[in-house]
Amino acid sequence: MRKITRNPILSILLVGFITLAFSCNRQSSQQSSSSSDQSIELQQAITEIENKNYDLAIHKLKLLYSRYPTEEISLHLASAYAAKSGIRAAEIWGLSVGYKNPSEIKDSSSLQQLKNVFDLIQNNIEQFESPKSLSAKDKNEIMTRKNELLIKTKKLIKDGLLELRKVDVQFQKTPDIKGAQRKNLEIAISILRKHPSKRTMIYSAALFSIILKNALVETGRTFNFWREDSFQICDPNAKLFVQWVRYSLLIAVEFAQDFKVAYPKYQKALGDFQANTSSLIQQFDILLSNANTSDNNIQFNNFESTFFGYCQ
Amino acid sequence: MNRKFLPILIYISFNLMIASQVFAATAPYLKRGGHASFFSRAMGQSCWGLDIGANTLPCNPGFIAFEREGLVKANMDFGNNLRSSNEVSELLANKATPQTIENLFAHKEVSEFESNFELGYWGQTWGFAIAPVQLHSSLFTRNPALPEIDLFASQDEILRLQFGSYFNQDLYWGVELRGLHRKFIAKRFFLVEILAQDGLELVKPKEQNVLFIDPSIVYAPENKPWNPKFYLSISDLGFADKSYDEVPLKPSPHVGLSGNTDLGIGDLGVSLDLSWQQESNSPFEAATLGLTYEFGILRLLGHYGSRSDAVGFEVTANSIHIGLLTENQLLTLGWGTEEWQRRSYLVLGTEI
Repeated sequence: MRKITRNPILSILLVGFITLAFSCNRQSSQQSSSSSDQSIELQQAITEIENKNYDLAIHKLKLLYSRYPTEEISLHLASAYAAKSGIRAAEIWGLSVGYKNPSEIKDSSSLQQLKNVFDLIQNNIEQFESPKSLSAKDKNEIMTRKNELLIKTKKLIKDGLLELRKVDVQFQKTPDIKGAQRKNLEIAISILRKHPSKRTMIYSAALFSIILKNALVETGRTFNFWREDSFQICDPNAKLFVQWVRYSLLIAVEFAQDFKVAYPKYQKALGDFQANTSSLIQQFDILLSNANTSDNNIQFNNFESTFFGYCQ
Repeated sequence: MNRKFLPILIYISFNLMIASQVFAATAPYLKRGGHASFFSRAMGQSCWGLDIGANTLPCNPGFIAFEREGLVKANMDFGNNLRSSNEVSELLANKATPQTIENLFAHKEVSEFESNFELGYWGQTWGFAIAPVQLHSSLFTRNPALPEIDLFASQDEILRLQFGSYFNQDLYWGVELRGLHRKFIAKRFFLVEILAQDGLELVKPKEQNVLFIDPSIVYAPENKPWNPKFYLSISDLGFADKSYDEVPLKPSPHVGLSGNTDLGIGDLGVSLDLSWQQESNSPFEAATLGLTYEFGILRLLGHYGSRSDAVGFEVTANSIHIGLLTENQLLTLGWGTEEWQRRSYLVLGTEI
């Protein structure tokens, strides 16, 4: 080893060194205990989602959300409801890629299938216009009493379906849901809408698209039933069909509302879509209001009862 | 003179323990300060007490002042789970696509990797090392219904310079100047966020240049049983051109002692380090005990601490060495919970 060399600045260096050691250790940031509790409880609830105990997860997350109504917890709570409906990451991811690259699905088979469905529906509407497809009784009634209303209504349905067609969604990747599942998705959406931001609204739009796809499937299904009944205007399936068309249009408007928050650059296009579609829905009501005034014998409160009211 | 310093070191140790506090969760310490290496993984913080090269230079710059022959060293080490490296490289190169994201997050399990290459010279009283690329990535996810991601990825270029000397016969000093250029992503987010407009901005890399100054004092009395060494050091005393909360510059004091003895059938080294990282919140958590045992061409390595432990070995033959270790580490995740993770590391190196 080396020889001792007394250094007069040694003690000064040491004092400075020790001071530095103490001062640097003071730089810290405290994590509050409540924040820690929140993290632990949130993790416990998420573990329940991972274990597919969705009801328990919802229960825990609802309690947590009542105490800490944060956007983060709202997302997890909404996801628990979505998971209960069978909607998990894989389903959302497939949808989201479709939204992210709408140009990429222009020529995809799924979009072509969608187009085929709409074309079929439009053809059927054209067929519906043909007197041959209607019974003589209905034809006479419609032609004499509701001819103008029917033609306008038919046009509105066709326009409405065309507007729906403009929603570029990869339906092939969109999961199917049933009525009860749809209810859970609606709850999830209502939770997300309390915290409007890009991330909550893209998730909400994804959930809306699942509901929309489901609504369009139901629309097509009821239309086919109606077609099987030769488009009898007073057939219950006709009423169901119109109800589903209108519901789909409403969902499409809601979808656009959330999607334009997530994608501000599409705000104008989506705004136009919303305006057009809302206008369609309003035209239904205006048209029916006119019909109401033209026929004082029947009191109609909404489109469905107006359209089918005379069948009663 | 020597006796005067012992009470000072003990006093400082005591006060530092009392002053320890809870730190917020951020990027892990080793990744934050450019310390990652096979040896620092094997020994944890106890490597600060050992006069052994961590890749090329010692963890503790105080040991650079010791007499030795000059060595040129090169090391390459890898951590586990390298399958994500392509995706992380695309992220860091700002070339991420939705497909990149899909590939990266397709793994539901924890995904981590680390790779490092370092070349350096360790001489008497000075040394330098250059790491042209040091890659880190860790990815944690939770909630399969709506994946929440905790991502840290960095690509560091590091230049280290150590120099030191002595105050007197038994008291040494050393300083490491460490320049680091870092490109990193440190983000917690929901997967759907990426899919909103400008969502990929979330994973846009940030850049930072940091100069770290790590001073150290080592007290190593001569001709004592076990060749004891006491030290007081500060790591990560840094100055950056841009500051980010995700990679805070938090200096960490180290105090500790170490020693080694010849057992006749090999050389045993012991090191106890007390250091205060962001994760530490008690004196016990600050402590790391490390052991090394060298027998011929074989060196066994291991450490135990409240937040990490590891065991591994190195074999050296004809200037080539190869090592393997397994490490457990308690990580504080971005959402505030903690999780133990196990990793394996492989090192290949040479000395001339």
